Amino acid sequence: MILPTVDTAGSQLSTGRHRLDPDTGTLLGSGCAECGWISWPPRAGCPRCHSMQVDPVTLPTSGIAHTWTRVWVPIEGIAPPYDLAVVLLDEVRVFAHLLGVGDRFDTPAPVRLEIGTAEDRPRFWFVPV
Amino acid sequence: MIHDVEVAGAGMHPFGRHPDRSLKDLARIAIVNALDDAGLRLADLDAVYSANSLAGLLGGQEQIRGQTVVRDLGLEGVPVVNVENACASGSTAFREAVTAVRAGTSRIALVVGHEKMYVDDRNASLEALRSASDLEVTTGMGLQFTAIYAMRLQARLAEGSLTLDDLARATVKSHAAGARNPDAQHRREFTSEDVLAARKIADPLTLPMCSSVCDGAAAVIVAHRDAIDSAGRPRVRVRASALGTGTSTDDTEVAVAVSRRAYEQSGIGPGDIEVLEVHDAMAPGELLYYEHLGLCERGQAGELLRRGVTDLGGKQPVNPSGGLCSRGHPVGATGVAQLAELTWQLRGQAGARQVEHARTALAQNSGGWADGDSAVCAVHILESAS
Repeated sequence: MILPTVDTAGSQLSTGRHRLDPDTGTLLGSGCAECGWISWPPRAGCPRCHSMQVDPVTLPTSGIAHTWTRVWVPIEGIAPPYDLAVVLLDEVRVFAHLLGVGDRFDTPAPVRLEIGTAEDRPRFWFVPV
Repeated sequence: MIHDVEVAGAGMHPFGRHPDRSLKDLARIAIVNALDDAGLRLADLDAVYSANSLAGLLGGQEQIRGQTVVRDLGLEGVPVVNVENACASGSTAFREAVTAVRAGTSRIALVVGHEKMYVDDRNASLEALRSASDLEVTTGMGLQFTAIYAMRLQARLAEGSLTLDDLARATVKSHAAGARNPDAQHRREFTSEDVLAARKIADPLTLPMCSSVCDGAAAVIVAHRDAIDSAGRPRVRVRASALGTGTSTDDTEVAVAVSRRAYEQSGIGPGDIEVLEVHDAMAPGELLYYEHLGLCERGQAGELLRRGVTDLGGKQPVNPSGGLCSRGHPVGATGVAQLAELTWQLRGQAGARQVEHARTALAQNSGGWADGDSAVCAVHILESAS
């Protein structure tokens, strides 16, 4: 592998910004203190008003899978098939794995977040409600 | 004036699998072909813009890839700028050359895009492509560009604004065009049935819908019109050059925003464009770009395709070269190959794939992935100046 295959969190290349809170089982975005815009993944600045006053905010744990695909080609050592989705948590778009959808899944569809252990890759995914 | 900037020559090394050719060989042949086409010599060049995305990751050659390529050919002394901007590296290099000629810092500039993706470990090429996303965000996610296009198209299938038949039809069209292009990687025609029955890649995409690993190079010469002797030669000028990055705070796709800028610069609209090369890394992706580039309203792409408007013989042919899917997508070379194709189209030199009487052309080249949209998009408009 020529690229890192595990989270770079904690490495010198990382922002060190936390993207999830395992205690509460939630994803952490960044919320703008000036205009309220929420970004995922969390950023140092607001893309809407350019304020640099941003704080971690907890994202909803339930949302809508906007679209999905079943992938049949391996990468990063992940055995196919595996399912990927774009999930809307309110207005925030999150790209993530989808688990437990079986052979047929019609989007848009309600899903909820699950967070794995520190050893799990990926660390979080969504399941149908 | 941007209208003083012309494309004086174009050349390619055929796209495909070339185990006997190094990156320097691929680039050399494209450069020599472009110079011959322009009637120019190496000594006429005063700047080089070199596009390559993967030679660092796949071969370890970082930092001075353009210098290594042009010095092998014997070109020294001139400024060489290395451009890396994901799958839009080639068009970004072209834009830099156009900007330099416009500004007067260059009179005759070489733009060369080169890539060698066939390496011993095919997995390494897929891995390298993954680096066109923010790895801090995507590592461990199994991100693949096939999956990104697949999800965009799946959403359209779910809402009913595209059908599987549309996706297959766009793919058949792509391969039919590639079959007519001697420089194309894939030159075999497919039926819709073949396309839909082929090996699955990322639902709803099958293998013939997807661009593949590819070696190749393309070059164009960008020059001030007063710097070249165009007597007796068909002339092509640059009418617009626009570049942008995606935004997350509204739903406007980057290709929409950047093409609007290009139309504003050029003073013409999408209805005036007579031939297009668009970024169909997956063949059905061109349907989405019909809408983004304003060829039709939202949701009307399937109808535009079915009416034959974007076929080779249609009113606005899209990807007569076969596009990324069939011509091939050696990442750094792609954007330059689009501009080479349109140059030949505007001059009436595109052989079996010639679009009749095309006088205005648009190239759209996108790259990378950030927050759900392309991380970069370049749109150029060229026109016949003869």
